[in-house]
Amino acid sequence: MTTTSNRIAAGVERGAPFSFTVDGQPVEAYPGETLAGALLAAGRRLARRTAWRDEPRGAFCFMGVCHDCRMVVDGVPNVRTCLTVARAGMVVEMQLGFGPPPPLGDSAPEARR
Amino acid sequence: MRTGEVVVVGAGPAGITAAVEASRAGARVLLIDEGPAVGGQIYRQVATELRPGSGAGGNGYAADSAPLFASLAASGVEVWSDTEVWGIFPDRVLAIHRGGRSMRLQAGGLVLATGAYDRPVAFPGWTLPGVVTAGGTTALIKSQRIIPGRRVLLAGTGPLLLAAAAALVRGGAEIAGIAIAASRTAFLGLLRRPAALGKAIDVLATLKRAGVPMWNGHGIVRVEGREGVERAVVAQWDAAWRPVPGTERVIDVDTVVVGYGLMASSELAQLAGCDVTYHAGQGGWVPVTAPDRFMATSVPGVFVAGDGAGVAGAEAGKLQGELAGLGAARHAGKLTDGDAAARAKAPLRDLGKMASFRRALERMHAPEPGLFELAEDDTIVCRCEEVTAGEVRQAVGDGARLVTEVRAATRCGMGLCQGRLCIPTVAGLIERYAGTLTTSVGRLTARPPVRPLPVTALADEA
Repeated sequence: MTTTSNRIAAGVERGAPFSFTVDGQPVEAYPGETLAGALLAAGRRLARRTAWRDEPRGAFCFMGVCHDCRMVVDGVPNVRTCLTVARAGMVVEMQLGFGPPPPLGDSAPEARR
Repeated sequence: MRTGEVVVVGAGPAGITAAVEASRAGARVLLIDEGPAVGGQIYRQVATELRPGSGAGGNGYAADSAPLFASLAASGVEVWSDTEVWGIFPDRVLAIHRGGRSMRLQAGGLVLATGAYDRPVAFPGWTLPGVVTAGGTTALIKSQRIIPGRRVLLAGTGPLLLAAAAALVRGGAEIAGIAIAASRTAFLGLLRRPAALGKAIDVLATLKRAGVPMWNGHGIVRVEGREGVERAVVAQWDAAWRPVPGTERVIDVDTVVVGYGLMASSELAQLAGCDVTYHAGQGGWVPVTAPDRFMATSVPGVFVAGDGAGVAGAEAGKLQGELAGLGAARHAGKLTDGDAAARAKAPLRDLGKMASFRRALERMHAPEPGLFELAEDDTIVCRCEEVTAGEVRQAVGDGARLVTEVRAATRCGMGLCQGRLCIPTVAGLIERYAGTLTTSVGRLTARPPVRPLPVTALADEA
């Protein structure tokens, strides 16, 4: 799967691409894309592994309802990647179980939309 | 606390129409939506930074949505996007989350147009990455212009499933097949409305041109793969949606799109204290209301419209929105009884004309018992808390007959999605294991916050 194969060319004029990282690997994204969208376009479906059965999960509902697309974004766990717009330099990581404790005095990036 | 003459929650077709109608009646109107732009799910817009080009872009509903967006822009309605309502308290006080802060808002007349989400169906493998919902697929394509996979199987029922398939074809995906639970004749009832007929012909022509195999009277059995979808198994289904032995076929795909109808998002109406009733074909628990009372609920000043008031599609939603907008403006003292009744005549008449279309839609969306027999003992029912069908069976065997009793015994429904993705299945499983009708197993009590809320937002409450 190439990095652009899931992007539909017709109907939009995409801006200049930028990159963020997922588990240390660079991922290309275009302005306006959500993290979940950019990751899917890059062929990456795994968002997290579950706490009890260690099962893989990825985006399911794409509208903020199911919470299965949660990842650790810039150190903050439980960020719904389907609602979070990708920004250059974001550090995105697979979430294991409930994820690391959130940094004190901060709120989730999706809350700062 | 800020006050508004009329507040509308949800900026899909029903909510936008309600807001514009109330504004035309002379009310100051605030329209609140959790998305980044108005449109809701069906009229979801391309993300603004992706700059929709001319031609093939847009949401696929441009002819319907453009006039609506234009009328909203021309109205005096104030729009708050990226804003979640997390609670409703007595006297129509809304608790909202906006820009990282929580605040309260008092509404003179309140319209809830909260929409719907895809019915969750628990079958073996439904939690694998690569299994996605039909509504989610269309949302991703409309707003991001990204398809969820390259080789796709679709399974479900109703017009949304076929619309998702057509959008995937136009987006360049290869469709391995569509397993449609409803029989071919069930779709004929939908064609009594000319507007629906035009869209159906367009969708079917797209699928036919692409040579997409459509299997009527078929359904999903399971999905297999290690770290994600590798193959799906479909089978012929009988009238009760039970697989016919010996008809299974295995299909290699990377993505499975599931769409067995929609569930009404009625949590906010429930939080507001509105009486609800169970309607399988309209998406479960829906507020008790009547079009000839301006879509009023049992709570004075609270009106509902659109799929959140019972799934009926965008066209019915707009007509209900007109009525609810009039009702809310009237409640806020902006319309006389006579004026409101006169303006309600046309939408009421048009809604009446849609009755047979709506009945056909409801028949198609009401799940048959086989849908709740796909889950095996080790199939996950609650995606958040990882509760299996076997654990639910055990709880029912121990005497649980209400969804709240199953929740207490298993943690099913206690996770971040607040039961939206498991309770419809739990209700079906109680009927499967104990024979208790879905209408008698109760529901979870909606409690604030109905959306996840950082504690820091509460600390800063404005």
